Amino acid sequence: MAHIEEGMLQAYLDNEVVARAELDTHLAQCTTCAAELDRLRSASQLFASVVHANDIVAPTSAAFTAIRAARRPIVRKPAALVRVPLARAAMLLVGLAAVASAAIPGSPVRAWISEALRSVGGVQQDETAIPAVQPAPEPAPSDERGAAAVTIEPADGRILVVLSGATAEATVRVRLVKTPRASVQVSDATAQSRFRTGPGRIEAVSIGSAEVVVEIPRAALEARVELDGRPVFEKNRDQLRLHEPPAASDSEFVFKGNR
Amino acid sequence: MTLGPRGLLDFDSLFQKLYPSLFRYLHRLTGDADVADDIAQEAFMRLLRQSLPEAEVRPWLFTVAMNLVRDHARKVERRSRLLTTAPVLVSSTPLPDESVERSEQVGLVRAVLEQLSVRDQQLLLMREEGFKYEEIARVIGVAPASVGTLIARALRRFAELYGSSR
Repeated sequence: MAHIEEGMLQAYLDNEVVARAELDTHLAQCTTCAAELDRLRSASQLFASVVHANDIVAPTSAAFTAIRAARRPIVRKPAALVRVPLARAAMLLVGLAAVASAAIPGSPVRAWISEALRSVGGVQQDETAIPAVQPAPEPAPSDERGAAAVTIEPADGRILVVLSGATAEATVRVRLVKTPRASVQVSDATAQSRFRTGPGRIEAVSIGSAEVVVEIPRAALEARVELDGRPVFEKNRDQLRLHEPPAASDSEFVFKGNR
Repeated sequence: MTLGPRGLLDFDSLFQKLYPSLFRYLHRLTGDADVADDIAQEAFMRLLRQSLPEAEVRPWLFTVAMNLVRDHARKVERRSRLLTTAPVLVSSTPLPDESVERSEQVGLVRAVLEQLSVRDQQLLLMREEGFKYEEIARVIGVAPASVGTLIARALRRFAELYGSSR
């Protein structure tokens, strides 16, 4: 008895064959093919159950909003397109006239151009620098002196914790919590220790040799903990990134200062 | 029903119908929700410039999405080759407490899927999204008559890899 080819069995399983009756008859009589069909069915069910287990909810609403915002029409101004060529032609004529006039010794245009060049040269000799464009400053953080613990809400699901001024004896413990707010608690805070907060941001400066406990909400979309300028802990949805091996890892991640 | 400049309402309902499936496919393929969302949105943005019969929309979307996945993979690879700083230690440490088991499972499935060829991943994931063999053949670029065999072999490989990884 000729057996059903593997691809045909798979197509039968996926309802992709037209002549099912013929295959039904064969499968009723051939234990080899029936066993092979069972194996394919089990493999198919395994794959489906495994990939389904990792699925997350699609952010359909947010994506739709983003696409709608990107679909805003561009307003065109046809009148401007007509004016530009004329303006360019006019400027070209003026420029040519100025060059022609400047070529004539004693011409007022020549004197004006010379004066303009001298004033530019003067600026350069004085080295008056054109001020650099300053980056927009971050929102001024609120300054909370003397506090041992601070809690904030994430901003758009994001949290940034910045710790600085740690000595080698400092210990930073990062914990994931079920509460919706992030917190930073500094034990044995020194007189110089200070907290600063901003939207979705906690800074603890001059922590010295203190023990710092950072609590990050599990529900936070993104979170980052920096210790003296280096990132030590990052969370992106349900993925964690540890930038250096933590000292201990049971229900928390422990980092030491001043490596 | 044709998609076009007058078909804005059609686009909206198509989006609601197809985005979840495309996102799910891309998330299963890449393991990254942000990348899946970005690529799905980009594919739909490109769809706005097309005029297609409705039956062509889904295969077209998934084809464009796969091209974008490949572009993304090339960019990531190029970026990692250009890194001059020491590589950052990426820990596969799962979330503690009750998420440990789930995180291990997520990692295991990703590790097994990544051992399949990209084509095998595409075949199996498109099949999971309910694509017919003819549509799968068109998107992947194989003969329709060979799709059944390719799927059967990919499933067998997946089952073997998954079994040996546990």
